[in-house]
Amino acid sequence: MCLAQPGEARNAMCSDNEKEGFPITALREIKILQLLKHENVVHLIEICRTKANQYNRYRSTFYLVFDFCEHDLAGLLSNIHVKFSLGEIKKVIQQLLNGLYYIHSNKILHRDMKAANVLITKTGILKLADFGLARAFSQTKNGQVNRYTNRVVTLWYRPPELLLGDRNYGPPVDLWGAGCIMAEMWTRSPIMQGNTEQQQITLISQLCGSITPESWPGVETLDLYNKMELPKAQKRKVKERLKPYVKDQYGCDLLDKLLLLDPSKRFDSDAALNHDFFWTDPMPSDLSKMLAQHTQSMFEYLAPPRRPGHMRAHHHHHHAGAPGAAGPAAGRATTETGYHDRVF
Amino acid sequence: MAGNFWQSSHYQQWVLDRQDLIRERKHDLSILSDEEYQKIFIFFANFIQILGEQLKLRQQVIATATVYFKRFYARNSLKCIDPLLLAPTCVFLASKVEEFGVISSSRLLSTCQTVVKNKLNYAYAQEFPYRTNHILECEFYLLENLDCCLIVYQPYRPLLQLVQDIGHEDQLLALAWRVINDSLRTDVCLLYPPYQIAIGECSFSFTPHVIAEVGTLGEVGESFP
Repeated sequence: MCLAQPGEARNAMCSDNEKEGFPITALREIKILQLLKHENVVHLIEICRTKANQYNRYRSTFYLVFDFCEHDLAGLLSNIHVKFSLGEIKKVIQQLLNGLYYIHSNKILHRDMKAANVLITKTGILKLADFGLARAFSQTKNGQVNRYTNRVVTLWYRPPELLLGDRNYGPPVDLWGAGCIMAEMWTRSPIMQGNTEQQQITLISQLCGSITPESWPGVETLDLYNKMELPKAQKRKVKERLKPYVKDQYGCDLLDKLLLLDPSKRFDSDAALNHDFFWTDPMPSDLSKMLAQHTQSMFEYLAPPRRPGHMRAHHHHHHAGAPGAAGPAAGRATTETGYHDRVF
Repeated sequence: MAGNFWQSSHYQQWVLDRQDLIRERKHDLSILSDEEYQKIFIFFANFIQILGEQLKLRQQVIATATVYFKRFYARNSLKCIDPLLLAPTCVFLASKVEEFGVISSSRLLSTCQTVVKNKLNYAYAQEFPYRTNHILECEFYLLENLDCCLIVYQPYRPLLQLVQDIGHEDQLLALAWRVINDSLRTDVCLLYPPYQIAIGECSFSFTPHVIAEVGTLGEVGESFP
């Protein structure tokens, strides 16, 4: 598959060398985005294809044409010249949750929440993008259990239930990601950057407290509960550790409710949208003025390298933050276990 | 699948008119009689059903594959693509769209070969002639002709609801389910929305005639869950 990013919002795919035929991620994107129409979800305008002719060996290329968005959130956050006020942060998160509320009420799970998949237009409208891992879900009834794959979501944004092998998950997986993204609005880089699943679950325990049947009833039934090493006697420090960055007490409280270990207690998007964070001064405020100061597109893939290239790969060294790319959170600490925890 | 049927591509683009079908089939019907044409579709619907059963697919996937197959030929002549190639291609695409997991193309091919050899040898003297690259290329033509409309609403779900409301669950459901499977051999999935098909099949299943003949209801597989 050739992935084209030719300055316009197009995704190209052609049939060359595709063992599995038309990529399933593209099929998902097509069928799901044809279903979803919402201001905060990327809009698939149309699908077009090139004509098959002798020059392309009678193989046409399909293009998915999307609304153009100038920035992605990861790109914006990696640029220190972009400064979000509290009201603007509220607006971003509110739109993110609105998008999630819409897709979840249409029975779709996104399954790849991360800052790079959150697009923002120059007028400040946020759009959830990349539905290549998305799927429809069903409410389980009469004891039926879903068996979805748990090998989804970029590691740094992967919720504890997936790391522990849950296959009967639902919308809370996306809200964990929303929580991670929300924290990132202040820390400016992903809050938990594990290199392996084990390391990720360790980082989560260090932030959210030990994973035990007391804090999370039923966790002991998950497949990997006994197979992974779960740090003991960790206290929950979400508010304590994020406070220096977030400062706003309502913001801290909402983060605390989104980064809950037990998915059944984690806030859903409706509850999150009703949180005081969005209904106290400063109220959510429009982003267009702030964004108007930046004329250049900011995408993660255009930003100077500041992260390990591939999150599933086992990099042991983080790239040094390029000048201007590292936010205030980039003061790195090397812990005894040999990995970097850039945030805390 | 989630979403609203009334806003779907299925409702907006793919509930066809009988006149449309007659017009599109004009060419084929100048060569084949109406009956021969229908028999060809019954034959290939059976082929898809057998393929699906051999591959242990859910009935939903088989039904979607069959609808893709019919939609393609609702817009094209039979001579555009050999139905023997299009049928497995529809199965291949449907298994991806319905999130059944990708069938490996080698498994699909070997299943095609055995099915053609063992079950369809009365129609095909030679081996199954196609290879992976044919199927992959055909998938593109299929997608294009479907206008990338991938989500097909099936009558099975409305049927479950209807039967629940009516009562007599076990008998009626099993029967109506099989009648729906049979309906895939006709044009109804192109002509009517799925909820209407479900109602139709339900009332059809109530006629004593059908209940008496349930044992001989054609080649339908035991795909009832």
